[in-house]
Amino acid sequence: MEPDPFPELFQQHRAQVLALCRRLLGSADSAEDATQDVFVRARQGHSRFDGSRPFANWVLSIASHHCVDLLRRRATESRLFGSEDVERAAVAVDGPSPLRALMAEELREGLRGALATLPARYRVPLVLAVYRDLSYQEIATTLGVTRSHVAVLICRAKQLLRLHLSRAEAAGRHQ
Amino acid sequence: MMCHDEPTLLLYVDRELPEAERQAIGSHLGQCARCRALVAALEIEDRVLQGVLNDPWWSTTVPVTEVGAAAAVPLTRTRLVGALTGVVLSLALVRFLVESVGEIGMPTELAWLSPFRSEGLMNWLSSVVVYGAFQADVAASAAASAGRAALLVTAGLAVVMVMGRAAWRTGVVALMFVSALLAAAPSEAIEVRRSDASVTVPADQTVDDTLVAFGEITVIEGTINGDLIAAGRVVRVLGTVKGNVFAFAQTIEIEGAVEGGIFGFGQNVTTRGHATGSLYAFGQSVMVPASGRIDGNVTTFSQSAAIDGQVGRDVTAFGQRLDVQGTVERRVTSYGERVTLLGSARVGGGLTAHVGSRENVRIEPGATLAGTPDIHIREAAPSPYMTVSYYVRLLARMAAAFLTGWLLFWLVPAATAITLDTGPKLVRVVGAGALGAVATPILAVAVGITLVGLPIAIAVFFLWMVVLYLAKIVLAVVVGRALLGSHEHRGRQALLGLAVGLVALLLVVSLPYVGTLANVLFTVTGFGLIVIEVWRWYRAWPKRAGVPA
Repeated sequence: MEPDPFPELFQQHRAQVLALCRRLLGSADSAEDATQDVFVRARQGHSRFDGSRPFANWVLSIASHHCVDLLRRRATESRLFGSEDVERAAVAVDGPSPLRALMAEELREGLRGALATLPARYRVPLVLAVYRDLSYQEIATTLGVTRSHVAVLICRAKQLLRLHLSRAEAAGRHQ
Repeated sequence: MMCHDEPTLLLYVDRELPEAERQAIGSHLGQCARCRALVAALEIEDRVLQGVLNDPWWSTTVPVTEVGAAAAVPLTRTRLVGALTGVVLSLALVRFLVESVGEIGMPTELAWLSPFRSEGLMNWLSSVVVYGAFQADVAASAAASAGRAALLVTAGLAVVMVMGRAAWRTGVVALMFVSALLAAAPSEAIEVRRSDASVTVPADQTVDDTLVAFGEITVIEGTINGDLIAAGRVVRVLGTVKGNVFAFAQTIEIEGAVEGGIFGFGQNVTTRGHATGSLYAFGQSVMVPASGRIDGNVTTFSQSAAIDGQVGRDVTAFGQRLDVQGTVERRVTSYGERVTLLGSARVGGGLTAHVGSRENVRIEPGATLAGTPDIHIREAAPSPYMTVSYYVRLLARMAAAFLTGWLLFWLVPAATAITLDTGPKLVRVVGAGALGAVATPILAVAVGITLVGLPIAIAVFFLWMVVLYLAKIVLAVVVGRALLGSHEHRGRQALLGLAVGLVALLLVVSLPYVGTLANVLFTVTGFGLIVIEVWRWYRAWPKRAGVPA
């Protein structure tokens, strides 16, 4: 019988999975638990793993699905990602332009905090797009929403971050 | 060519546009400085975000916020107005349902248990007092089996907690609980009789142990060597009970002999017979007619109390009026509106009356009283809104609620993130709240009546009161956040929200007339929020604890 490759794969990819879970969940505590769960799920479903493709991609996609499931279960509204129309209406309202807020790189620290506290419905697609570098279509499949809905959510996520930064900046000026 | 909106340019930057559209925008950018600047900014933005998301900070810091908080939806003023309208409508509906259920569904013999009625509420409060203060001996005798039951339930819970699998967890807990109760009940040799119509112990029958009887009418003509615990519409004791009598009924009549004490909870409690112990009676009217004899104390919480028979020790009456026509060996103490000692009354130890005015204490000629009556006049209460103490108390309540809320945030950070939804979710919240607020005490009494469940009942009651108190605080968090229009759930913002919410709720609750209704409404909603939140916590739980490392 050949040795179980799982413990080694687990060790190799643990940090990557944990990092993704942290960014998706925004909370270090549950990210640890989620990482455990991801490997439990991976082990249960290892027969579906296509050996010709990188293990990392496979396990990270399990991680994305798992975190979305987790957030969905904890969401206060039945639809974690809200309604596309509502979000679209919110996007249409003028927010701060990207020109201003992002000039200030020193606001990076504030941006991290803002990202971590951004509602999950905006943070998750943004993390998947920017950090995981997935296409909108891939994100749409992971979240179980339409591609256009993903586009709106990402747009809204950026708007909210800008809003947060411009407020933080204004507060800084006041002091 | 027209300029493009930002979402479209974002798609362009993220390379999510079809080739043709991409080229069109590309050529437009060649001519339009504004769009070019916007695209450049969006590209910088992506790079900054990439940098921030790859920051090692993510792997080093402690959680910034609960996931639940991040997923929470901020509440706007429009939503709040919608929510409150929803609450009013749902509460009206719930009230209507409860009333119609009260008309048709609820057994009439249990109607006096309803906390929606003032005497029901009074009964509830007094039950708590009696359970806590006077029933210690009974509790002790039940402790052995109840302890075993509690141990079993705890052990079962512990096992389930360790194993933690959602699907069968609930079932197992329920099964454990029921089997523990069933296992514990017979161990005390309690006889339980249950009937839709009547439970009767005929004159020639003797029950050797404690009898627990549920029936429309319970009549004891024979002898019971243990305690009698009876619930129903009418409980009559004509024979002999060697232990205590605990009766929960609309009409309670003790005509025989009770060698222990009598604890009566009902609309009318009448003791014509002889009790060797004391009588504790809670109800609308409590009577000890001329033939009645109580060797111990008589303590009443009732609208009217009439003592025509003999009392071996003290009489203490809380309630509107007390009439004494019989003999009281020791002191008569009254906290109420009106005290009358009729002509034939004989009081051995003096009279202490706490009344509204001196005219309300009447001692008829012929009545015998040791010493002069000790009359304490209560200050006529002016409008509470005109007194300083009212506002001091209001402030104290505010401060206490605020500190409790602070403590709550500290113990349960997720409490800062509770949100109130509109629509069907809100109905669920109010429904859960109404159910929890009303059903919990009924459940507690149902468990308490079985005697073995007494400690459980007391614990449930205690928990119920804690949740009732927390209900408005939790609602204040939600309201405060909405009023501030704040999306932040943490730190000083959360405390500020709590303070604003508490002030708003207290102001509404302090209004004359409407305040009481609003109070009920707020409490039920807050209760529901807590119930739903705890339920959600419980559901999410195997994911936190049940996964092997």
